[in-house]
Amino acid sequence: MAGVKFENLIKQYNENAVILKGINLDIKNGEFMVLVGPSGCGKSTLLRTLAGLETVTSGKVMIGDKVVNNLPPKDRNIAMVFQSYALYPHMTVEENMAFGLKVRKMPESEIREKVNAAAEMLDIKHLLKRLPKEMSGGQRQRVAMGRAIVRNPEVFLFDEPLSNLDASLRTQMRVELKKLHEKLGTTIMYVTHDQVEAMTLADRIVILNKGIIQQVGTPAELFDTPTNIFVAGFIGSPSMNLIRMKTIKRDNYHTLVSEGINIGVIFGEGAYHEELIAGIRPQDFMLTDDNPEISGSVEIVETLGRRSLVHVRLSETGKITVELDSAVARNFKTGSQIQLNVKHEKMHFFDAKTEMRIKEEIK
Amino acid sequence: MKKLILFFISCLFFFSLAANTSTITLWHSYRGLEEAALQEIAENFNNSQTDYKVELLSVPYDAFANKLTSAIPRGNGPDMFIFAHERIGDWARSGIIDPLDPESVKLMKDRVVNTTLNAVQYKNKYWGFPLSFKSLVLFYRTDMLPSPPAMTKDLIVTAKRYTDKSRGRYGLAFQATDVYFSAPFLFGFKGGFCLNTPTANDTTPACIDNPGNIKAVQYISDLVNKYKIVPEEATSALVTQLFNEGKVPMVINGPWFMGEISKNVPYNIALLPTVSETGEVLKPFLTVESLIIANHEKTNIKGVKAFANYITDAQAGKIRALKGRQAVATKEVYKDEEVSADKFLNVFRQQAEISVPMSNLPGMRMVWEPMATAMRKVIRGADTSDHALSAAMNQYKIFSQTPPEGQDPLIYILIMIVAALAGIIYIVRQIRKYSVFKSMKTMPAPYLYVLPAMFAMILLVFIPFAVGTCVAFTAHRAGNYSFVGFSNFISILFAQDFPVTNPLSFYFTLAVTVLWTAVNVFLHVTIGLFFALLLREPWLKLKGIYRVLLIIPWAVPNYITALIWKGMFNRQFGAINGLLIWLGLEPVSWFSSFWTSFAANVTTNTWLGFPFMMITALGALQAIPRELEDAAAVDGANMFQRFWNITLPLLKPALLPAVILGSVWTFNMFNIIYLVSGGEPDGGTEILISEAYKWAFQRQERYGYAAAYATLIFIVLLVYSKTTEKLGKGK
Repeated sequence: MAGVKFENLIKQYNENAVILKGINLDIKNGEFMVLVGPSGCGKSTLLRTLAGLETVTSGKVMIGDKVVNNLPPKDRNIAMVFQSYALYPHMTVEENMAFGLKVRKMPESEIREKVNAAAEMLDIKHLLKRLPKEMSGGQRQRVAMGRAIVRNPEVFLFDEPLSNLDASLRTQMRVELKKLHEKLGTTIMYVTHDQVEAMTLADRIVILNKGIIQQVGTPAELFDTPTNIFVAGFIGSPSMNLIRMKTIKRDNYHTLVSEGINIGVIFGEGAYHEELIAGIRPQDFMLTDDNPEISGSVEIVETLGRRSLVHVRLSETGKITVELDSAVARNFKTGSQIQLNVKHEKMHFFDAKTEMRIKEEIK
Repeated sequence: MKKLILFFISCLFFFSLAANTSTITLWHSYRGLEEAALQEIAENFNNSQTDYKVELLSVPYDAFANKLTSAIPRGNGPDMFIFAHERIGDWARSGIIDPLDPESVKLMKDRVVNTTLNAVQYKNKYWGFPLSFKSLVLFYRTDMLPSPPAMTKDLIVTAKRYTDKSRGRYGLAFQATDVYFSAPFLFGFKGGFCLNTPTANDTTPACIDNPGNIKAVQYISDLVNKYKIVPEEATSALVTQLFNEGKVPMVINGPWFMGEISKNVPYNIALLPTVSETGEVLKPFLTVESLIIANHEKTNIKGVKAFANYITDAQAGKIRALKGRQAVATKEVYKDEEVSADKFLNVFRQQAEISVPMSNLPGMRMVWEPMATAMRKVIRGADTSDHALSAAMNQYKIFSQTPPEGQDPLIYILIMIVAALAGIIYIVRQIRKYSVFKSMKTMPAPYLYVLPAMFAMILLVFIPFAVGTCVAFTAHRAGNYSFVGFSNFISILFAQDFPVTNPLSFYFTLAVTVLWTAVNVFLHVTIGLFFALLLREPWLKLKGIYRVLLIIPWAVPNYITALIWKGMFNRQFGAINGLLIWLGLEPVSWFSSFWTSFAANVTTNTWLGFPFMMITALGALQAIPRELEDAAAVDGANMFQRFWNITLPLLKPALLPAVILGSVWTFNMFNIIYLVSGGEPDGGTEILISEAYKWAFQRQERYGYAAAYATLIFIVLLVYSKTTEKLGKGK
């Protein structure tokens, strides 16, 4: 087992296609690191450079304390699970799982032992003689993991492994993956675009956008203190409302103003901004009858079950999403007026220009 | 409408008038000047009288003989035709042509050069009106050589002065390994084929290994190897090129060569020299082109005679001589001032007097191949003259064997009927089983769509196949087929004629064919796969261009490619030896030994064959996700293991049919063998299909024997593809 380290990693295909723009990341030994970001952000490329399936333009990739930039995949002692599972269609489950050991010239008896052990762990022993085409998606997924496990690698790489499964199976596999990690304790680098997977599985999460790391941290850190509006908008479902506001000076306080919004705040020292972006999660609104901070008209109500999403139009362009108990939300119809207050302590503030978090206190 | 009716009526009227003159058709294969002269004569003839009208039809030379033998027995074909005299024996025997009547014979005896009339004689009858003759003479460049040598000793001395092998210069050029071009030496050394004696008849065996021939072949070999004044592997094109480029002062060639000499080359012709050792003159073969009467009911004998009388007289002869540039047979012509002033025509005429008319007996046709094989062997130093010629004699004896005894086909016909009945019962049962008629009624459209293709298949594949199979049970002799049962198959399969190690035996050829197919398909697949894998690599730029370039060999017609490669493998002037010399290596005489000749064939066919496999593999590779190889790479497989364990097994379903198809094509790749090595050396690199061709068309028209070969090829391929298919499915 070993940790993984990226130092100033740059990957570019040509002048106009720089995929990774200087990645610095330290994954500790045994850590479950999830790499998340929108499509095309470079997360799969980063994973593939670690696997050795992509070359590195500059910078260092290290597994343990060994620089592996120029090592072929076979010499990196890693195992990878692909989105499509990439099971060899002409081999049985057993042969699929044994392949990596066979090419390493492991004795036949030892191979059988390991394959059986892994199959037992994943509960796929009864499938060993089947071909991939004779199995369901979930079964294939297990075989793909089994193929990775038998190798006993230093690092596991997962490239969106659950995205081809249906919702219930995905939840189930998520739990199993977590258990597996606890059992094996191997370092894992896991790529997904699904933030629920990221939040539930990860020890730490890396958020990547346009080839640049936006933030690294535990799920709670990312949720509570997003460093910029990208992270703020990306983590949390439904997404945080981000509202551009102007500051108006009152006597001993300031008011943040936007169309339909009027929130009184007190700036801590050095926190004053003439213009800023306020971030409010949909859960952090309260209904009010008088003196509302926000008022608008209901555009549509989406019922999720116990909770409902109310889309509120504030102006021509201004719009927010509010999450309310369904019992309350039921009272609103399209076009009806709604008045809201905000939980001030749950608000996030970002610089309007740099879009970075304003660290100083604003109450 | 009225106008149209009027037009038809006037047409009818015109034809009824024209009916008074009867039309006689003449087939010929003349081109260029010769054709123009013939047209002028025909026009003059038509204008000179009103009884007959000659119509000319130009038939391509290659198809000429076959067209005649298939048209005339069915009452079609021309009234008369012009052809060389060698086939007269065959045609006279099979009743395709008519002899001249005594009156015509008398006329011809008066009119034409004596040797030409001898040439058209067969079984004491004369079978054509001699028109012109062709023979080899000595061509020399007057700017290089003031006067030609009269004796072979002088010829060697003179030729040596001009020879400089390193610069590609020679003293004398002729197609030394071609029997026709070497024949003057055979006769000059008092050899020959014993077929020109007055007593020779259909059953007279040719003689090949006589002392004269042995000496002559040795002499020719000396010209090439000892004195080195004659180029090895000289083709007709090479001879022309050398002469036109001034790299050789003397060439032995026929009148057609005049048309190939560049306009600015000053040249003259002379009689062939005399052999110093024997005092005999070098005598070329004489070929006489004559007007021959087709034998069928509709032939207008009177018309033919009238035209023959016209075309052989001095006036028409002069046109043919001066405008057609022919050496005409009519003696009178040479008395004409203009003609006698023509130095070329006179030399040809003189050479005709000292020439040997090519025999029109069946024995002659079977001499060529064994003789040519022997000569090539001796000239490339693989055998001694006497040994090679006695081997040739043995081969000749086998070729000229009488066909097997005819058998009573009754029992076979009974078996056939039983088999046909069984087949019909089987088909009817199948039709019932799948209730074909019912579905035909309910859904006729699909059956109608398939109908044209089915019709075409029956017409173009099944019927010829059935006929071919039937022919395999017969023996063909001079237009007559006799039923011989399994004789052909027995003689082939039990190697009755040749020991298994002889290149002419079925098993030797089969072994070569299997080797040929295996090596080719292996190379096609490996090279094709290599390029397909390369073209898939993401780092490769300009893929589109490479893809087009790599497909080009496939797009060029394969006989053109074959001829180009044949040229590149030439011993002296080929690009490949040029490259070897440039690299400081010894040039290779590619077609002199089995393995180099085989390699030349394989190279050519590989060049032609790999693009197909590449395209197939490229397509199949598209269907294999890259992730599989990535997964294998991460699993620890190196490039070779990935290819062997992942890519190749996944390509197999797509490649297997391509391999079967490629094997069948290669197995029957006639063009390459025929055009590149031509079976060299000594028929060793022949494959089954080209061997079958030789049996059918170059060795006494043994169609039955050849058809038996074809049937065996079919069985071999059927077994092969069925087995391969099963093996492919089993895994």
